Amino acid sequence: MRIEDFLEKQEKRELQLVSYLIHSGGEADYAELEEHLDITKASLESTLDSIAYSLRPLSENIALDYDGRAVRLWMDELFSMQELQHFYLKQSVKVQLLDYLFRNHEFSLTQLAPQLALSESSLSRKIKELNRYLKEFELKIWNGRVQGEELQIRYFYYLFYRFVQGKEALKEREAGISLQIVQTMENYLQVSFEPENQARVFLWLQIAQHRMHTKKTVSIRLKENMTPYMEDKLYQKIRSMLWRFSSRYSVEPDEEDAQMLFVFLLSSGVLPEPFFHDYRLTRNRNSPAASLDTYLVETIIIQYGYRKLPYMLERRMYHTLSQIHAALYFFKGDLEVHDRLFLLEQEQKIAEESVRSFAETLREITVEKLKLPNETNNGLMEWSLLGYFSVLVMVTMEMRQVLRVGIDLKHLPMYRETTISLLGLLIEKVNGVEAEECQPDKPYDLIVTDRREAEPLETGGKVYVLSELFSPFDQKNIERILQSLKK
Amino acid sequence: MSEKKYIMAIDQGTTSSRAIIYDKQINPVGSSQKEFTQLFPQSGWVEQNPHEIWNSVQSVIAGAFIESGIKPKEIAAIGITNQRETTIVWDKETGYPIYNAVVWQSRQSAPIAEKLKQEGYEEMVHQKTGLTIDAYFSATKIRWILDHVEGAQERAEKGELLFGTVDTWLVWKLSGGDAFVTDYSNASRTMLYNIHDLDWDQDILDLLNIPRQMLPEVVSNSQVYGHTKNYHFYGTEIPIAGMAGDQQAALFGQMGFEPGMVKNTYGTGSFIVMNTGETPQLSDNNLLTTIGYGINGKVYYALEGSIFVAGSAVQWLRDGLKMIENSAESELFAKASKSKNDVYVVPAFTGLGAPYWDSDARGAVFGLTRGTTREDFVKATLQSIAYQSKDVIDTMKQDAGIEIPLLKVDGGAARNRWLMQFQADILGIDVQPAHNLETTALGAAYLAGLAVGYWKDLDEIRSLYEEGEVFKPSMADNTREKLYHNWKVAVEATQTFKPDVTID
Repeated sequence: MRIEDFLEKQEKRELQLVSYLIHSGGEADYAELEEHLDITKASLESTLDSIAYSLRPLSENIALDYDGRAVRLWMDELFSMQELQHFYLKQSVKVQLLDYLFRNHEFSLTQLAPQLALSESSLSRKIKELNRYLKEFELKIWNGRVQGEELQIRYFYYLFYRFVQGKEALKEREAGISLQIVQTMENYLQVSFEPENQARVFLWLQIAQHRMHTKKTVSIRLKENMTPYMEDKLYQKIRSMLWRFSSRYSVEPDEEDAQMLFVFLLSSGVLPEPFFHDYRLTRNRNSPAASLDTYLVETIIIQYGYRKLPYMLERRMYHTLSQIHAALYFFKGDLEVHDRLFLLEQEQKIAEESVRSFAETLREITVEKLKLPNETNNGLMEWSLLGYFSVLVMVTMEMRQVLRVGIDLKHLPMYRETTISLLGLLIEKVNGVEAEECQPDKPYDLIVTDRREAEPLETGGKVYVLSELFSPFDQKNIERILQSLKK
Repeated sequence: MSEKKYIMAIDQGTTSSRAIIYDKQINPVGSSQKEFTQLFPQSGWVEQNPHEIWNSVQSVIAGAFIESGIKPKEIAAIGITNQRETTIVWDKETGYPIYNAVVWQSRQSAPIAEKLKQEGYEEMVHQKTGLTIDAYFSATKIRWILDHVEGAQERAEKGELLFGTVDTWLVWKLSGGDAFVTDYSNASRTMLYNIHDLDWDQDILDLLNIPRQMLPEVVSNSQVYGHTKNYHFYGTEIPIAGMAGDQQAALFGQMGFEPGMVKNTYGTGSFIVMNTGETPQLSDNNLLTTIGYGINGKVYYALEGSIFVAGSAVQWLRDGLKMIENSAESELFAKASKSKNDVYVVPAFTGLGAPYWDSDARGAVFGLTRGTTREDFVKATLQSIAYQSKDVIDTMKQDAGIEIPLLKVDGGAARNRWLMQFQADILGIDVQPAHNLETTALGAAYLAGLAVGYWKDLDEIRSLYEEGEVFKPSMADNTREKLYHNWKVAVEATQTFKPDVTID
């Protein structure tokens, strides 16, 4: 599910237009926009009018100027596209409907329609639309309730309040007790969350606290998936922590609440790496993710032929892979906040060609080992591809050998230093290259020099004699040599 | 059901873990290796995180499968060989170690060993265990852990704690806590095991106040101890069927099945192990008596001697003296030497081991002239490895009263053909480097394969064994005697040099 799916067609188009303007440097002519949005001039003009109307409350942050030929965007330096998106989302009927459902657990059409200023038939249509998107999460609004596995409901609302409605919407609710649980958890597990992660745990707990009052919940798949984790030491600790906590406060968690908190901690990346590392060393292998993490780390090592990885890099790999695998194992669906395809394309720019296909191979292994159903509409599968891709980029970047280039200029007594600095900057444009003035007795992979003498330089590395200072010809040749040295 | 086509050997060493998958013709078809962290909490202490050892083993299991493309269900059995003596004590219920693994080199329990010696238990311990009292063995390490972890003694007495060497730890983990066993070869290195009675020795247990209930059951080197839990082996339950300490596994991997068979593994130091048959032979020269292996209801004993400096002498030439750039160059230099073997290097960097046992001795060089070259020096250093091996092997012959017709060798220096020829010359017997130098893992694989009928018997294994090149002695007897005599003189001279170390 994409975050824009909470918006109506017209609202989506308006955001799309602003986004296009941002990517086009803040200005575009009508013809471009008509083509991009696939609309007529009349529709474009009506869209522009609608945006202008919508943006009135944000006049100090963002404004559009259009004159029948071109559109220009002005945005305050402290304002972002994300904030604009939030502004639209907050007004979305679907968002309000989901928020209402969370707060009230149940509703009737006659009760809710007036509150949202909708007719009952319009409300039914919105629910139908929402159900189409919620299907990915295996959830459904039915009989006045959100129905599905309790873990999926909490997971969905966690994403909803984190990315769509804004955490502040929940601030006052169950805040006190959730904060106490976070603090208890930090003491009991001897873990210290980063502030951002603490806020995420807090949000999960707020949702959990609220959902604990729901009477009819379903946790069939959770129970099944948790079977291999029942003896897990971290799970046992979380369970005992919640029990102890509930004995002192008016909270009544059940086994599933502990399980869902455990699942959240494993899959959300909130656990600090050192804590996760200690847990990983002692965790029960009778959990699908644990074996898979090891299998994929070794697959990556073998694929790239690394004899030995830096220990800390291996730990980071485990930390990330483990989150991906826990999420794929326990959850269904994902809320696509950023365009994944765009992100993949960006990452592809700094990665070797083969990384994308290898990331897909890793995903295939995961599907096979976790026995995941082949679902085309599960956004988590696409999300995992991005995750694997990121791990591979992280590994290949870190393991890349740094090439050292020495600049040896003998014939420029006057502008020598400036020239060396400039040349160094040009050479360092190639990734993984460090350039400096040539130091005697220091080994270099490449020495760039203006020497004319015939005598060879005392270096084991390659030598390139500049034909002309700052010539594109030399720059191209040096880049070519450096690329070949990398291989 | 898929055919079981392969055997997996897990070689859990001091600095790294390896897994090798062998086919029936003992061709390695996939392998993986992973180093793990060494901890040095204090000077002379060496420890490891048992969880990290375990995780490294899990990683190499996965790695070997990935590299080979072989499926776990195609594995007929698993054999384990391990760093010996390294001591782990863990909670029976939680499976959590109560302290780091105390590694064999670690000296933190030396005061306990020293006290036992001072109290006059040396002879008793030697008679019962075949070992000399030293912090090297597991017994004092267990005592140290029980002394230094709060409440450990009490918990051990209540039966809440378990002790194991690395083999025991790995089998316990792989089998999900079902099998708590060790094998004869590892048990005989604990300094708690009575090698005559084949049982934990109650007198020594009482002496060190170690509760018997924390010790594993001692079983043969080749039998099914348990099965991997399916979650440790990618959905498959595979028999764990072979176990041996690394040096004993190497003896087995070198086909050292008959009394009088000797193998020498040239590593940083050098470990020489001799099969002495079904009766233990106690050494009069401080060699260690140990159990080589126990299989099919029979126990075969061994004598073991170690040389402190072997490969490390070559490292010294490379890193310390910078005379060579790599180990392989030592062979070229030795060949190029024109000297008449009149330079002697005694690399007693940390004292002299068997049969001299002089910890105060320090290295020396003899026979230098104006004409001595770098090549001569390198050759003399290589020769010192061969002389020291002869010292131990001659002592073994004397202690066991068994003739040694052949020395089987493996390890890095076994690739040095010049050294192998000189070793044969100075011993006056054939020297045979293993064709497959991975004898340790091979030994574990053989033991596991035999237990599950993957290989029928020792004869079938013998038929698979590919003999390496044999280096035959070609030195005249009088030359050999003269050279070795001069070596002895050099050692004697080295031992007389005892400088006063109290002067700054």
